[in-house]
Amino acid sequence: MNNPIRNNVLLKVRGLRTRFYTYEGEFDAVNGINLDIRKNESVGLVGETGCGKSVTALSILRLIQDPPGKIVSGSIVFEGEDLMTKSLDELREIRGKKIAMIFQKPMSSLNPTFKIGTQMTDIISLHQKIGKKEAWVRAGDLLRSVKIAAPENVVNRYPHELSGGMRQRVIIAIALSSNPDLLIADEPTTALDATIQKQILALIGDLRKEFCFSMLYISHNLRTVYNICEHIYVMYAGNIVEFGNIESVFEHSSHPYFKALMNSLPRFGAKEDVLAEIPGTLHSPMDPPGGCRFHPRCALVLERCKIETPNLCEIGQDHWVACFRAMEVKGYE
Amino acid sequence: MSDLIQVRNLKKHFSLDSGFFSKNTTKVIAVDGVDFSIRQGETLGLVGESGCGKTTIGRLLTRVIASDSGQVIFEGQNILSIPDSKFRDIQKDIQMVFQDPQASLNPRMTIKASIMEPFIVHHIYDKDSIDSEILHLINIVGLNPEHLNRYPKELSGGQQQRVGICKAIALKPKLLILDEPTSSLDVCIQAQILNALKKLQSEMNLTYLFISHDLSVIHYMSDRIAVMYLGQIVEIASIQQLIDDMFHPYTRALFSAVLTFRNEARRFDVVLKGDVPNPMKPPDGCRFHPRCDQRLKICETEMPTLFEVARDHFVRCHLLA
Repeated sequence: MNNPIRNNVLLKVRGLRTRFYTYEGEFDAVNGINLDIRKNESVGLVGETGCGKSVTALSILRLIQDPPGKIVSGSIVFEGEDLMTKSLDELREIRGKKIAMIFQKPMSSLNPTFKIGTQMTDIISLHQKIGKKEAWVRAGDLLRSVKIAAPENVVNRYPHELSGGMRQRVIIAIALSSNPDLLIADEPTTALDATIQKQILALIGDLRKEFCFSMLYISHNLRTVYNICEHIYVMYAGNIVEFGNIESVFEHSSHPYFKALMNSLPRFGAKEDVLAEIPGTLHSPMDPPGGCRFHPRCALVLERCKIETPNLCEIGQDHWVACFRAMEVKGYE
Repeated sequence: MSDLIQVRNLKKHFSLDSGFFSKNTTKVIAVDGVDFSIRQGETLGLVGESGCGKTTIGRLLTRVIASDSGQVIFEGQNILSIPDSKFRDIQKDIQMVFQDPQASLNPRMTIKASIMEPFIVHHIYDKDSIDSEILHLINIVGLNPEHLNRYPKELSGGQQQRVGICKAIALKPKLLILDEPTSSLDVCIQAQILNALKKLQSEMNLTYLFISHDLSVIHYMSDRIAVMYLGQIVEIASIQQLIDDMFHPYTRALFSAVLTFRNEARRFDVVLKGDVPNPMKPPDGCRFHPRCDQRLKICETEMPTLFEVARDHFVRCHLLA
């Protein structure tokens, strides 16, 4: 479709549509999106709660629970093979091994009844055919590479004995244990304090150099995405509304939604009297407005926006926006 | 401006019993000798990492939990020492908005019933005027009359938080304690709520204690900032003083942990090592010394006191004494 031709594509998502069937009706949480992740690239996916970020991530791994959800159309091409055509056994070879995922809550991702070392070696020996002793050595090495000070001590502890930051480090170590090609990180630092968040982001940066993986980083925090990603996709109500190179998108944000989102952040340095607001709230997913889904909240709405859906258009070097008035909003001179 | 509330040497230790027959109890030091005051009409921002005792301070001021020692002087009287029956009247003047808007509303009560509750509890319920009073209140916080007959689950997070604020201001309080009121909301909803709070403050002449771990939000809302670490205030100053000259190494680390865009200025770049120590076994000397990169010998043994480095700018650090 409208995506630019990009080399070295590791993951190519085309026309992904994930539908949920509920008692109140059916709706598309992800509404036919395209997304590319190149090798060794870190891609950010941002948007408000309920815009479909996490559903996109789960769809890529085909982890959408059926019922109520189902991927109704689209293709997910990973290293040249379409994951949609894979059997469950084939998927098991990919999940956790080639595509690893880390989740938001570090507590609920670890089993409280097993020691850290046991949980790590279980996963290591599942994906790599190595003996128990070797697996324990490998677990220690991994903990060392996520900068845990005393790995031999930590492997014998239970999850509740570790702090939130330590648990998230352990989860990152587990995710990287089989040298994945792609790491999907769903809000990995949201539950952490600012100083710990900074530690974890610095760690992820170092690990990317060491392990050379691509990353899909999902967050509603624009600042973290700016600091850790090279590409960004902005979602609103199941659609990608703006994407491109991180510098272009942040410097020249051109979709009225993303522009307003940027302006609504309290900033350091200049102390504003009033923050910019986006009026109203996200519509109910059951009855999305016609035309551009953002039009009821948009300050620049035209009659046309209420009927027609804008397509993604390239408005700058590697910078795509789905808005009829992007040329007026855009920050380019 | 005069002080609306003064907090002096406030302490709260929670004890964890290890068993009915056991004599050893472990103490968690939540708030350990905190002093600050809030002037009439200003916003004091209280910032720190989770577990530093921010929320406990809010709860102590509203007497939701009892303090161990210290004084809280509100309009000339120590509200910690007066009996419960008399505290009722003062309670109207000190209200709180909580972090999780959904958990702070009763799911079985309509929004109207929720907003009416403070009037009933304080026996100032007037059948004739209550409807117009409620309409006036929801108008202030930006809700519509159609929301009144709904239940909390039918509202969005932002709308629920507006109801929480509406309940808190219903009795025209003097001090509003806002405990992370926007941390569970999306950024654009956060902007709506923060703007509404600022507008309210100037219209109703409210004084705010704004508790948050998000420095950019604190910076937007506050006139003065108090930085907490493990139950103690380590630095307190006006926002401009703090931006110009932050002294405490922890304040610097906290401010440099704020992620920035390229066009935003950053003065320090410190990545803190390690985690917050266990509050059951706080380190000797300065509580921050195990993570501090500028520590001296004295920091390991002696606890520094709050020291006035400039007018109304206090720092708890040996480097400055």
